[in-house]
Amino acid sequence: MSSDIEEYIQLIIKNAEKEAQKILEEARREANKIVEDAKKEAMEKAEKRAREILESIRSRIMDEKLRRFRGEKAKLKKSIVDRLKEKLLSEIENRIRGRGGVDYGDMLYRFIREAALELGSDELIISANSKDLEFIKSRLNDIRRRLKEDIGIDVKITLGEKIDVIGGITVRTSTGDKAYTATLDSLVEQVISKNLTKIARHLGLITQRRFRELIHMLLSRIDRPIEIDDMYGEKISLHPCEEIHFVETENGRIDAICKSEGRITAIYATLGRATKEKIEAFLGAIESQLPNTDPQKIFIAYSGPEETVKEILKKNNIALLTRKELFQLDQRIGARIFVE
Amino acid sequence: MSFAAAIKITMAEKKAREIIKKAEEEAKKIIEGARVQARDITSEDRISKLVDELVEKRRKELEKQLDFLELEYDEEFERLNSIMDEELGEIVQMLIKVIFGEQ
Repeated sequence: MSSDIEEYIQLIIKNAEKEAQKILEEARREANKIVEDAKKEAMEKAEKRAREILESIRSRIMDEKLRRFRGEKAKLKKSIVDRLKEKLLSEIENRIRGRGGVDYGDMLYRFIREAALELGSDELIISANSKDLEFIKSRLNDIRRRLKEDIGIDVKITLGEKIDVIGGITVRTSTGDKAYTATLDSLVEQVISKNLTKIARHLGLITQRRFRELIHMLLSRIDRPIEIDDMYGEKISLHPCEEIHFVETENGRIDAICKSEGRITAIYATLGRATKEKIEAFLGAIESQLPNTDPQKIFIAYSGPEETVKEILKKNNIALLTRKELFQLDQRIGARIFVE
Repeated sequence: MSFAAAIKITMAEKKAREIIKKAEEEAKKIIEGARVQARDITSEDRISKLVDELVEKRRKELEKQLDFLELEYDEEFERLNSIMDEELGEIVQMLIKVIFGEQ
């Protein structure tokens, strides 16, 4: 009996200890949850504030950089387009002054005919530079006769004032309510403006990001294995890509990784020149992103290579494509991305 | 049951209550301690420190992004500064064809 009581007492204590243990465990669990919830809350608040701060830093720095960069880039682009206009106007002048096989007289007649049709008037006042005014004056009867034959209107033509253009005409009706411009100067503006995308791609007046997209587009147009020569006459095999992607690493970037039936081609594509620094960054990115794969390496430098890079390219088995080779590839696969 | 046994049981029950009470007090202390810790964790001071750490850590990532962007800008400038007359000449020939219709 005495032993039963002892056992019962032990049981009471044991149960109490178990209960106490349970209470403590529950408390520890709850305490843990309180601390974890607090950590989570603190992290959420901190993340939100940090995001706001970083966004403000980012937009301040980026806005400043972008504004400066865009301003400088716009100036440079304008100077290139101005150089282009100048060259184009000079070439046009050569051609219309009889050195390029262009029948400028016929061109002027076509401008006048278009003006008559466009303005729908039988009385036109034509302005042009002094040479062209003289030319029109000397052929006035002939022009009127041709207009009557071509469009059936007997047009009375009056010569207007001299204007400072390289060629072409401006025409207005005698009442002055309608006008038509067909100067070579305005034609140059129009032609450049209409072909600006083509010009920008051909000259590389695009962003680096757009250039990368165009290279991806070019690679995606390869539908059969082809072999091309790089700048140094080395052969490169290109195959249709199953997937193309871009990677940016701490060491550098790979603008295009083309995977095709187990072959990997890694491409660096810059609008600028091939320099030692860029090549090293390219190799660093390959080492970190494509270890043990020994990919075919291609460096595209739209502005050509620096003189000193040939050795480093050869040593690392990197093929080099400049604008010329890229245009050849474009034409070969009929992509018409950089050249017509 | 003998009187002595009854006393022993009563004492054991008292001890059991004390054990539980002590555990409850300990539990209270644990929870109170956790609350104090939580208040500290969510205090303005600690959150500000956390914000500073996060900003510092991500500022480096941001700087990397900006470096990358700058490198690309430099490459675009290299191009803009290296366009030769010969390249413009190619465009001129293309536009001349458009203007004079020599297709």
